Amino acid sequence: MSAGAPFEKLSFLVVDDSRHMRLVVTTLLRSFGSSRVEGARDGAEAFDLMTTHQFDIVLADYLMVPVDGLEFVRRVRQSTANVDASTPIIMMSGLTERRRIENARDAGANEFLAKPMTAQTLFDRVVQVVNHPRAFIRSPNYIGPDRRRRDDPTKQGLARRWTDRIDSEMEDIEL
Amino acid sequence: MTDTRPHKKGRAKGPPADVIISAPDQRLLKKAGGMIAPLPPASRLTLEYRIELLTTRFLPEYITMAAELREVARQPDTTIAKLFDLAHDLRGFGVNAGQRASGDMCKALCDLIDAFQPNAPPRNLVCLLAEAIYTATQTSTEEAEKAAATFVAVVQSTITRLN
Repeated sequence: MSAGAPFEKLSFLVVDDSRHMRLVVTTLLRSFGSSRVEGARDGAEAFDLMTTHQFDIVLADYLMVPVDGLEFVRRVRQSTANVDASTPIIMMSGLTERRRIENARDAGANEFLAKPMTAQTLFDRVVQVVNHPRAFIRSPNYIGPDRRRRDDPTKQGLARRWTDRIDSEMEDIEL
Repeated sequence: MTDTRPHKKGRAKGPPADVIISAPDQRLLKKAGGMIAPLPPASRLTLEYRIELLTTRFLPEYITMAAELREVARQPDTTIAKLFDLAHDLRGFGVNAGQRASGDMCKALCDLIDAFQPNAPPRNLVCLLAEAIYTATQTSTEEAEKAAATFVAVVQSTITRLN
């Protein structure tokens, strides 16, 4: 385990159109020990900031105007210049329907943080990103962290994805 | 563990050629000096208290936002998208600002707008809901929670009927 101040060298970008939320998240991250936390009001401003500054972890709200969280994640993942496409992104939202969480995952977000957040839930998501980095996938249909969290060595490649789908469909069927 | 499933001809043995898989990036782990330990309970309590202080500071702004939602809902030319954005902001703010009742009501309003899509919900209904949200920010927590419970139940029932 890390001794001292594990957050000290980690830099964060908080993207939220609510000034209150930006302040809450920034204050918490600074309290965790981070010495560099910056804020942006929407996805466009955040993307611009990322072209000139490098951040270790980005926390982005789901619903913003004019560029929302989903569009922001897609822009980062598909970026070819200046912006590190593999930057971990934690999506934050008070709207936690399954559809929205799946959209965030499929856009390439690493984690989903439901609002109202607590110090503990924010800490847990950040720690999850740091302690358990995932493989990064670049395919014609998807760019982002590996969406499969379970490591099943019996499943490989496309077949593994296909069986994943079947497994989840089987789980949805009520017997 | 070995794969005991019968081999199918043509099954891919690995990722296709157009898929690039990069190994997990250990950069952040190195920066953090190794695995990060769990948050100590004392630190957690201090941080939760800090959130509370922040939210108290923002309470007047929250009430102003609720008033704005009410005013905007009354204007006939306001788009539903704008109302949704305001209610959504207020929801996130409200729940984090210790205004759970009005925050829950804002979420119900967002759900209602979502359920009516691609159409708009009746404007007079939205006005009533926005009015109730504002009132919830002005009353005691107990009363607001009672009102919110009724409010959310009515909205849920409407959504169920729609579906």
